Amino acid sequence: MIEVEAFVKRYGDFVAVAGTSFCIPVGSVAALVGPNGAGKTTTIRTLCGILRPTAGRLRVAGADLAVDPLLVKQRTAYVPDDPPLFDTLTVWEHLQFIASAYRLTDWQGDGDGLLSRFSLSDKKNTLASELSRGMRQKVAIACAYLRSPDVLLLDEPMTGLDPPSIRILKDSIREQSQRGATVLVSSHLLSLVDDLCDFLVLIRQGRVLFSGPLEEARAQFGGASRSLEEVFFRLTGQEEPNAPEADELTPGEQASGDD
Amino acid sequence: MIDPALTHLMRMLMRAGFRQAWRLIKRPSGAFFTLFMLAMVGFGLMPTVVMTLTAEQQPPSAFARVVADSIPLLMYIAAAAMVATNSGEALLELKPAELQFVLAGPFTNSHILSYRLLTLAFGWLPISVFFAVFMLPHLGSFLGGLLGISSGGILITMLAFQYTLLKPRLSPGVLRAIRLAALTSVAVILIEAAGRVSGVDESYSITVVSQAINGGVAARVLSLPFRPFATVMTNDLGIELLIGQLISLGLIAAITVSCYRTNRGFSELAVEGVARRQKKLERIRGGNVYGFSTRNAERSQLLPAFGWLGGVGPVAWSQVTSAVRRTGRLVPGIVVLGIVAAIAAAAVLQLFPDTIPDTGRTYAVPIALAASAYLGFLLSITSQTGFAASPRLLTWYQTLPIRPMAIATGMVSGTATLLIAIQLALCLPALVISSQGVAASLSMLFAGAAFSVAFATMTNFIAAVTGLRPMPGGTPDVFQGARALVFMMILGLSMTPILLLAVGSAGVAGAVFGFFWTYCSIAAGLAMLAGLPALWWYAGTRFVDSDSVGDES
Repeated sequence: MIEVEAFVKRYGDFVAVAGTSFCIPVGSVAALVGPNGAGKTTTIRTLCGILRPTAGRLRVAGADLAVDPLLVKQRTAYVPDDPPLFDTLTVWEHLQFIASAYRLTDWQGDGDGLLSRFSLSDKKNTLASELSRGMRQKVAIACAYLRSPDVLLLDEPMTGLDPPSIRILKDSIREQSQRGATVLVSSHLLSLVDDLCDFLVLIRQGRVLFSGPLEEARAQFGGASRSLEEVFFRLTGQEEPNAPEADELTPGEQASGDD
Repeated sequence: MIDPALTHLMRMLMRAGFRQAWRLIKRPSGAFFTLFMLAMVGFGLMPTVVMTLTAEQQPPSAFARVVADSIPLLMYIAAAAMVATNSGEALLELKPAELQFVLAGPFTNSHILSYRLLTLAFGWLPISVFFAVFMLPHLGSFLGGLLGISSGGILITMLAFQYTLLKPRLSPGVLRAIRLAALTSVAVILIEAAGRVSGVDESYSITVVSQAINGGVAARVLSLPFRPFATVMTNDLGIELLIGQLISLGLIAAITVSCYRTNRGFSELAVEGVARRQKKLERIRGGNVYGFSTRNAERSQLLPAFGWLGGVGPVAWSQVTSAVRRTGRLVPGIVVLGIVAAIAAAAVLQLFPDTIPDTGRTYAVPIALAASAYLGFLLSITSQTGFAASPRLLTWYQTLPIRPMAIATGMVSGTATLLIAIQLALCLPALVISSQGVAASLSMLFAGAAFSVAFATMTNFIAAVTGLRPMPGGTPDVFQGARALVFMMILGLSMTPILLLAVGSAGVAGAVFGFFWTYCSIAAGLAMLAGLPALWWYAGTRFVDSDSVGDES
């Protein structure tokens, strides 16, 4: 479960996240969606313990970020957008590093399985510097999966992947959710979100415009098409100047929107 | 010749460059860098200004004559080296953005070539001004120096450029022949020079040696096309300078016309150049400053896992593996050289026991330690290990469920391993020839190792606390050199208290137990190590609490 309460993040005078609150249930695959500069990456980086919140309370997988950040890190896996790898380590050595840092035992079988699943078996002993963008992405995802985290935070996970890899990743995300992990996916690809996620957190300019089940969002803001695209444009007020702004929505429409 | 859109782009880029520089200067850190750089340049130019003001009426110095004699030959060797090493390819490495806006734009090869040549010329001009000022006491006049240096540099660049443009039209055999000819001509000059220098009857002086090198037949013939540039640089304003400059311009014009007539494949070469540059930038951003060989992309595991060790183990393992791989064969090479040198030293001492003077044998280990400290400094500051790694890579460590102090302790291990390996390599022969006892030598080694750990700790500490890097990341800009100098200055200042404490402790140990190498070295080593845990704790906490990690800066 991910619980975020009145979360504020400031960089000097700039407010990246302005008091957001949302709660993602255990086992959900949630989408964190919003226009550029909405505060998605800041939110994800704070949830995994890289950034310190300026204010607010964040609980990840039952651990309070302010009280026990190490426990949060133990239970969370984060895959950044365009993940950096150690150029001097091989693919297998990345898994080994993760195994030793998270004190995993008997992980080799799982490691081989993950490499095989992501078609990386023949790259096992290849230096990361020699991998393509998509392969690097897959190595980072394999590192995240290796330790079966309670919460998975994925920032634009499909970028650079080929269609077969996208399908494998989508299946694997569903499997992670089925075993009880909470998955938060930040993405601009609304079709991916539509296909994969069952929960939506929509933010703009550091404020949550909607958080709740995706079906609910479709029903309330999806119009006749009930599409996520419609939900996005209606709530963010982008592209469609005549569409009602979030502030202009009726109280009924705002009921599910936090903040 | 050049499209107005491209000149407009050049103007805009130049303005943007000044704007960026002004923005940096306005910030306190930028202002400090600027002042620092100005002070450095000022100190560098001070002797020149003083010499120029005081030596106005005096005849040219011996050094000035040496410079005048040597310039043509140096220019020839530079041009030959550029051809032999394919340096002209680097001149075609346009910026990645230029791929989209210039190479893919509605411009002919000639337009793009003009654009490239003009951007290179505008980059070379300020450097020529600097050199003209710097060498003013040894030049005929400032104007002559500026004209000679700038046009000489342009000619060498154009020659390399011409060779690169011709490469696609020439067969591999002809290319090999050209490169071989360039290398052979330099070898002939060197052999001739060696022969002439060894055959000199009078006692050696810089003038005699210079005359011997530059007076040879091969040297004079091959450097002939470059003589006008030396004439322009070293003659007073007058007819000789004018003629020299006209010949220089004629040569540049000829080679430039030739470049324009052979620029058919320029765009393709430039596209390859952009790709090369992009890869190079990505490599440097990733921390691979040395460009370690990736020819063999498959690697077997270098080291077994270190175990948990309170969280230090995993971090240390990744750091040591990265540091050793990143420096390629350098460290193992130095160790092998150290072993060979030690065996050779042992053999020499057996055969000729009095070869090495007593003083040298007494101070062999301290001298080796000092040399290894310097070499280690050069190597470690460029290897981007520990907290000096690229900010994005540090994300890995910030997400680990490991306590800050353990992270910081592990981060030191990469740099420390490099330093200690170099130390051992240089100290092996020193230990063989040292006249000190085993205990004294080993205690000195301990002090050296303690210095290495302290140095590695301080490098990490500065990177974690200030965000400065010995090798700044990101796209190279004019301020990177200044930032590296500031890092070194801060590092030097930060090491001062540790070194003072070490010296003080050694003094106290000497006063109490007697001034023996053993006691003093152990005391100094322990003193250097004493405060490090506090530094690890603070650096680790600052790193984990830092908000800047993960963003490229």
